[in-house]
Amino acid sequence: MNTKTLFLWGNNLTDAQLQDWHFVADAIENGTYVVCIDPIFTQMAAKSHKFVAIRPGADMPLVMAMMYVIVEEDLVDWDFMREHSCAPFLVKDSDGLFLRMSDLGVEPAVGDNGAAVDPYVVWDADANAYGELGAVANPAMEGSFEVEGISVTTAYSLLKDEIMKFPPEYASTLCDVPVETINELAHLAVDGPVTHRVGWGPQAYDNGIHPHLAGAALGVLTGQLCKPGANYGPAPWLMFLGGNMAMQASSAPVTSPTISNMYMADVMASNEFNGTPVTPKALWVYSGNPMCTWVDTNTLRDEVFNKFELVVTVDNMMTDTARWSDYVLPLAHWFEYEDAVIYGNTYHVLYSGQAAEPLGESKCDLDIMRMLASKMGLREDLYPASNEEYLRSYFSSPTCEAMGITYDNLVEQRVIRCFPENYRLWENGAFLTASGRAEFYTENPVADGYVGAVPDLDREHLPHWFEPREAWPEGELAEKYPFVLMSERPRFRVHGQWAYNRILREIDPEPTVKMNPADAIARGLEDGIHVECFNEHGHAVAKLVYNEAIRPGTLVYPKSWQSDQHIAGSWSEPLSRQCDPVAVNQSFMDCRVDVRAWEGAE
Amino acid sequence: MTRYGMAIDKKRCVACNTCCVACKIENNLPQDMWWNRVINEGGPNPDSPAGTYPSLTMTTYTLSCQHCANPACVPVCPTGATTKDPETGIVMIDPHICIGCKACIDACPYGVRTLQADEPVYYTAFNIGGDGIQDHVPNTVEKCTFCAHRVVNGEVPFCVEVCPARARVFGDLDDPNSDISKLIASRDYEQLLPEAGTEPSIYLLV
Ligand code: SF4
Repeated sequence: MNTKTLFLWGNNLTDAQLQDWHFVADAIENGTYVVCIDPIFTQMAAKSHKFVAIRPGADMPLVMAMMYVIVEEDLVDWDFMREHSCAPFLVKDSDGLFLRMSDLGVEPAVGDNGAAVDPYVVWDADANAYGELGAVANPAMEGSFEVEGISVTTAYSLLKDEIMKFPPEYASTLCDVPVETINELAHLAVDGPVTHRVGWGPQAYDNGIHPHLAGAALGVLTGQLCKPGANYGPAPWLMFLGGNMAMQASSAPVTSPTISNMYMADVMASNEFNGTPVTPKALWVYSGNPMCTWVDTNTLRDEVFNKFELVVTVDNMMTDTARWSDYVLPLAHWFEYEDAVIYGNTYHVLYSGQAAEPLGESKCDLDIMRMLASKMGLREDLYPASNEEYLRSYFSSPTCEAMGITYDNLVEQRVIRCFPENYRLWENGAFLTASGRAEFYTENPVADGYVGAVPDLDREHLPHWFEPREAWPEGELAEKYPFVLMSERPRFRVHGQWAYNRILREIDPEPTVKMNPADAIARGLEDGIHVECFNEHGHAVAKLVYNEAIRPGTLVYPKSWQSDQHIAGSWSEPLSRQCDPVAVNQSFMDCRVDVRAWEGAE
Repeated sequence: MTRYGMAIDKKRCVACNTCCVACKIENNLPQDMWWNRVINEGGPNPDSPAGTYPSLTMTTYTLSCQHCANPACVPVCPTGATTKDPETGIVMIDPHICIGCKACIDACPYGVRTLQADEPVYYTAFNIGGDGIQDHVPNTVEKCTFCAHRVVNGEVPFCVEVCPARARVFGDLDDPNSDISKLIASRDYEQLLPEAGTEPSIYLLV
């Protein structure tokens, strides 16, 4: 509400996060200027003051070029940089870590909480000598220095080196945003309070970590963080952590590895995960429909699901995944059992009461687990006897007591606020980093979920540009498959949910794919015909819909139709399971296809 | 006197269809019956803008019975099934009087009346919706009732209550102090087909 300019980065908020739209609408009425950066002219774009059409997978160069303008014109918020960021920290050439007093032989002290206190070293620009952070009034923001024989460079200088690679003229060739627009956006970004809200668009490519590293750096550089109306981040997904933790996690250690879907086919083939033998035999799927919503479902089916001896799916509807399972356990709908919601795009704990008896033999997850545990001979008391008893125990903790959150209060009030009024992340600059500052330089990037050799993490200290794997307009793949295949999270479904809702299917009866009319006409494809989008991984057939909102050279499909609702194929088939070794992400939009009229049987 | 009307804010409506679906639930509308629909102003397809990428515009609103002060449907109805309630200004159809002659469908310039030709088919094996809703009778014409069954109890139409965009405002146009009257006084608005002389009670805020 108090934001002067709201930047929406790849955030189809009016569809995918509709619950937040009325706040944005209020802000607009209150004078907020909204900039929507998106390859697609969404409803949100139509409601924004400025639509910035961007090339898919190229948000990062735009952010970098905005920072270039800010640095060139010296619009940096130096006070914020000095007081609240890692800008003056000295990065050692040798290992990329921040220089600390212990590097100079000063024993770390023991702090109040028992933790070691090892101050950061900065360069005193007045004394032209090193000093302890906190003891130096005017730390150098830029420069390379020798500190007792150790070569160091300020974190800001390293960031600036990256920024300076992106003059707007060059960045414009990457992101396809005009130079004047980049300049305009840079000036908007320094005129606070500014909020940057990111959707799940920019991360949907193999280079998807880096637009966010850049975006967060932009927030720091401009001092537009943790102040009223100023922030950088996605929709606030919050979790109430004040419950009785003993009720949440088992004390027994987990004995099996966590393996990303991206590598599961290889693991099933080799029976090995990073050198450790693993022979998974049974698959239990709950709270998900991977065969519909994940990438490369042909491989997932043939190389993963079919290699398990037993596949069990728990769901309240017949999903693509349920169809490929040996057993389907009917799950009660959440209206049919009692529960509480402690996680979501909300500042509240919600009570979810039972409105109807479970249909047929269906049961809630907890009941299914109870029955399974007892058949497997696990401890009788693994889960308390009833859901009510569980919730009563869960909401009995010192935090709950202090906030007045009890089972009885929840039942009575239905909704209890568990975050403070006007809650702000990192209020007063209290960042949740080792230094307590906004660290745009990641000192010690750690790889997780990779398979094989540890990936090179040098790239991960700072925002770094590399092209998306498939979505880039140049190269052999682009010639063979001329269209970037993008998805949207449409308003008529939540992932695969509501797929068979008859009322919704009257409005939205079948899978569609949207195409810019100019592209379609050039290929002789008429509005409303069935087309096949395909590449070597698979295909999907859908009704073609002309729509000028679609960027030429891209196709956009509303995601998560069940495969039996397609004439042939499904949208998850053409998506590759290859991934960046650091991101280990299902890059849903890093995909190229070709499109042709469907000639197969209707 | 009371004359109920509704304002729909085009700056807020995002074509989510929540109001249209909620209308079906509240009024137990049978299969293929819609009293309220989203209209896209731009290109011909849903959510498609006018213009050429990237210079584009798009707006949206919903279309249902305009509950006109001077309705075109009332005088043409041969049976008196369509009436305008003098107490509230709400235009109603009595399904037990309607003979399905479709004279009102031809007369209404807004295309918001639909013939329920056959025996209604429902989505559930049980009735859903509010208390006192209208019956669905084969070979009769149906349309939005402004949720008269709710309004009579001092509630707003269900579509107003559920709109996640807070785009819909309902109230008494004859009361200058009602929220809707104040909103209309303070904002630019459009009305659909004012030249038809129907004096619609729906205001589209622009
Ligand atoms: S519910 Fe509100 S935002 Fe959604 S279509 Fe209806 S009027 Fe528009």
